[in-house]
Amino acid sequence: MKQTVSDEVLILLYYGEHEDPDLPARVAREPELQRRFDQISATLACLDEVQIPATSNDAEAVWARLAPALPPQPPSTRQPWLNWLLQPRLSLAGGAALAAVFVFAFWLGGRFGPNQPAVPEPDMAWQGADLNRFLARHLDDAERWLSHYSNQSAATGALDPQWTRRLLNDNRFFRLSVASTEQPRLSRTLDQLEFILLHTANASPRQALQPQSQRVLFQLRLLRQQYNPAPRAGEQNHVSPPII
Amino acid sequence: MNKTPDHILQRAAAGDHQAFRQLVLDHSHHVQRLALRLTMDPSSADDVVQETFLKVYRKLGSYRRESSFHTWLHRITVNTAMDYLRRKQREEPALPPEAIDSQQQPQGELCVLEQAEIRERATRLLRQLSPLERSALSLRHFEGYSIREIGSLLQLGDSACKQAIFRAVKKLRHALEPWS
Repeated sequence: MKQTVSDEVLILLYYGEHEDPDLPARVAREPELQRRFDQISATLACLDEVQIPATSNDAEAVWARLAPALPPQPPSTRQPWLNWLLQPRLSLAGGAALAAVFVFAFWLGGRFGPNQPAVPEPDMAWQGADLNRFLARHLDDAERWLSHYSNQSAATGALDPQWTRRLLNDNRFFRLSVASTEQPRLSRTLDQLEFILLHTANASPRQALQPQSQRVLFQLRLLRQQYNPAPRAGEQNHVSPPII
Repeated sequence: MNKTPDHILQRAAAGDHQAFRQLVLDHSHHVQRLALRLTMDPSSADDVVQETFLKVYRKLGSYRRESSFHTWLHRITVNTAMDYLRRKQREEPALPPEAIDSQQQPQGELCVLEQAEIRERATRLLRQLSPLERSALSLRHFEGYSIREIGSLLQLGDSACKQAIFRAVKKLRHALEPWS
């Protein structure tokens, strides 16, 4: 015995959402079912007669009405890549990516750190006369400091610790820079200077380093003449041939 | 529908008005059409469009891309329209369905005037449906969404969605009975 087909099922058939694949054939076979289906179809077709007044469809007009109602634009928006990274959906992936970057950075540090100087390549860092002038200025500064150091007394007072610290930092930079170059004398002098600066910065007894400081002072004066000769009359102070 | 590029969505989500303008220009036509279908009134549709895009602006940061932007936007439009219709219904209660039956009954052959009468009754009936019934029937009949998609848009199960459509069609048949 065939089941009765409800109006609901015929509505679903009209919209093609019926579940029984044999239903269209059955409706076509049975006149009563066909009549009911036609009735429903005619009713639903009436909906197509419904006329809705059109709008302007003007997108610019929509925006013109909308824009004043929007909250003020934030002064600075995040970079798109940061937005992408910070999307909640991607937060896990973003975190993993950041972790990977850190791990890679540590690996790089461990792999190359100890074998590489922590300063730029000398031939990159020491290009041009300006850079030579920096070294010459450092030698001048160091010579002045050593002079003060050698002539310290109760009357002159102690050396400025900040000056010592700054000179120590500068000297470390220059020493590392020339370490890999063919300038053994300069390198050795800067090395010895750093030793004195370091001990002074750490408040070591001055007397023990006095002879050494005299030697370094002497070396510095020689180097200073080499890298920063005194200008002749009527001539600008110029820099000697590139040191590196 | 134009596909809005991801970078526009991202910039709009970050509050960039220019990017949001682009998004509005790309999608306003479809939002307007849907709002008009659901409200059946241009003025109400304008309100719904405005409200929809304001919601989109506020919620864009929480758009998860689990569905297409088009679907997400339509969901907001439908929900906004339904909320709007419910508010309006509370403020201006619709005539009961019986009111349609009390109208003049057709007599004689179907003619142009009767066609106009059918159109008017169908239009009036659609306006008198509950927001849920109207939305479900309009999305199925005019927008061509499947029942499952309508269920997703209206956040209803398939069965509840079908029942809303069945109720709407039953009322429509009742209103048009004299011509059936």
